[in-house]
Amino acid sequence: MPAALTILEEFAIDVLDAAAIVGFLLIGLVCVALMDRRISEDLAPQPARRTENLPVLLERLARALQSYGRGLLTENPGRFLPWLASIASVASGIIAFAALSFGPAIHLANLNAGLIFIFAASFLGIYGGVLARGFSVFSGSLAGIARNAMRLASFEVAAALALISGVVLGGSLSVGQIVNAQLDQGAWFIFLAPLGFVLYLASSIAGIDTVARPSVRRVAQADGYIEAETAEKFRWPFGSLGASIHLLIGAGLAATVFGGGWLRPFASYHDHFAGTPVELLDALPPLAASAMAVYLFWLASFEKDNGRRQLMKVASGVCAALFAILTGVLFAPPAALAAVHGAFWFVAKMAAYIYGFLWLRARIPQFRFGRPIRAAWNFLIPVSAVNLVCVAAALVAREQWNWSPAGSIFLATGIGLAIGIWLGLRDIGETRTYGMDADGRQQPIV
Amino acid sequence: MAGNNLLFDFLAAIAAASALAMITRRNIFHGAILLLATLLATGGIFLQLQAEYAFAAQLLLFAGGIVLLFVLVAMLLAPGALHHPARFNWRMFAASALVLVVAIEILAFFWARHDATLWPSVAAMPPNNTGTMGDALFRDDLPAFEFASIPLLATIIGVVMLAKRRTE
Repeated sequence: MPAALTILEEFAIDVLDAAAIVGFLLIGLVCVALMDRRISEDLAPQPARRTENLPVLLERLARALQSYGRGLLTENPGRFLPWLASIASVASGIIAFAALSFGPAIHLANLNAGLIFIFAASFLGIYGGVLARGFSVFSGSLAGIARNAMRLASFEVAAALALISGVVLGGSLSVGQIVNAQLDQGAWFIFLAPLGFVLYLASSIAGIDTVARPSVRRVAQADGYIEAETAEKFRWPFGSLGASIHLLIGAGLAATVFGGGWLRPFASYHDHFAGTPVELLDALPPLAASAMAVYLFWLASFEKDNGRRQLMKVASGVCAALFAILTGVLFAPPAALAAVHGAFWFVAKMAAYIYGFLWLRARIPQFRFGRPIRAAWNFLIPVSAVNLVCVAAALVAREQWNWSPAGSIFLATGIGLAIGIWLGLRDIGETRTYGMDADGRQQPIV
Repeated sequence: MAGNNLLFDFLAAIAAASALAMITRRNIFHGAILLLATLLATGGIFLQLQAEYAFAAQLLLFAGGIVLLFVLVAMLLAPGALHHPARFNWRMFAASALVLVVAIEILAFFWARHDATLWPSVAAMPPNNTGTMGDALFRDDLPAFEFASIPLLATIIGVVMLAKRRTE
């Protein structure tokens, strides 16, 4: 066999996998945008801008992607750097996704330092913002560079510390081993380290939220942030493609470390339908899909907006197809069943996390730049560190001294919460005295 | 295995070419980005040797930290450097001579030992080498590791002292 053909054979599966991941990310981007638009509409209806039907969204996505082929909005210091700036944050997100597992055997790369890799690769996205601001047509964007880098670094530290509480419980940095540890211990780590999950969510919300809101875009434009500009130019709903992809990665990490990855709820409960090898709980995904299909179809009949009605019917059809696949695979070999249902649960958990994330983000007011940074260093990072120590101590107490799981978890979470509340109250007091001088005049707050 | 060799050739070619391009470019930002490319390609070779932790550290520390710092400092301190590349000066000569000497040393080292086995083969690498490395750093050689962290701590304290606001 010619050498070229062997090489092709060696890499064919990997190339297909990579293509599948990119396809999944593109669909995920559309879903994130739809979800974000829907949630912010629930909060503040914008009847004039209801244009989120599927063809329009796909066209916008195509235009946004097309724009990555060109140099964007710059003083033209050559073609290469602006191009790199525009693709860096999206490309780094796609690379980071390679190490996440969608099922027991569905992954592109099973690294034994997988979590560090995901963090490192997604951190490279910062080059997008840095280079873009550096070459922006707007002057005065240098402060924006420093702000952006500082914000990202601060909240990445806090999020990493929160995530490590899950790593300590799992005893590994490998994605697969963390999920298997959750199967062995009989509980998802969100129940063993609840405070860790909350801190992770909080730091992710604070860290991703530079340009994503419509209200912030104008400020961001003054800083010359290229992604905001592309968002404005190409009307991509969720702020920027880069922010959307990094939200998807954050969701994947949270689902893996805190949400049990591809495990179904009650994964160690094995009861079968009488006389068949089909497990009772494996009927949940098809049931959920069929319920969703029927509900969406029913809901579509009340919808007045034509585009949105079409979209709902398409989604209902997708759910029906999903129902067929999830049911059919129940009678397939166990490996196929585990793979398909694992992927279903993983994506469902990611979707739940993203919904919660966007819901919370839409309801939290926007703060001036210095406040979130103060919150990160004075509050989130110390509390995450204390939480990490408490979770580790609870693990030792359970395994070495035979404490009850519930008692150790309550104690650990309680200590973490108490310290968090103390730090929070202290910070509020400091901010007040810091903002006023002795005569009660307002002083500049850093 | 043919694919693996091809991949190595590809990564090595990228690393060498971008390193060469980096030292020949006048534009400081192009240089920084080419350095980034070199580091990423080297990281890819680490990954191919199944040194996954070294790969991730390469991404996080060198690509994500140090080169980013170069880019930021270049942008903050020398915004004009983009359009007015540095003029010729004698320091270039000194630096080039130094690099040449080091390069000759490295080549001589390899030449002297070209038949010896410099590197363990991939098969000799333990499967869970991240864990092995963790054991070595935090269990077997903990004192040495902690001593090595003292300069880092001193640096951090120094930076804090320098950046501290003067209160009088």
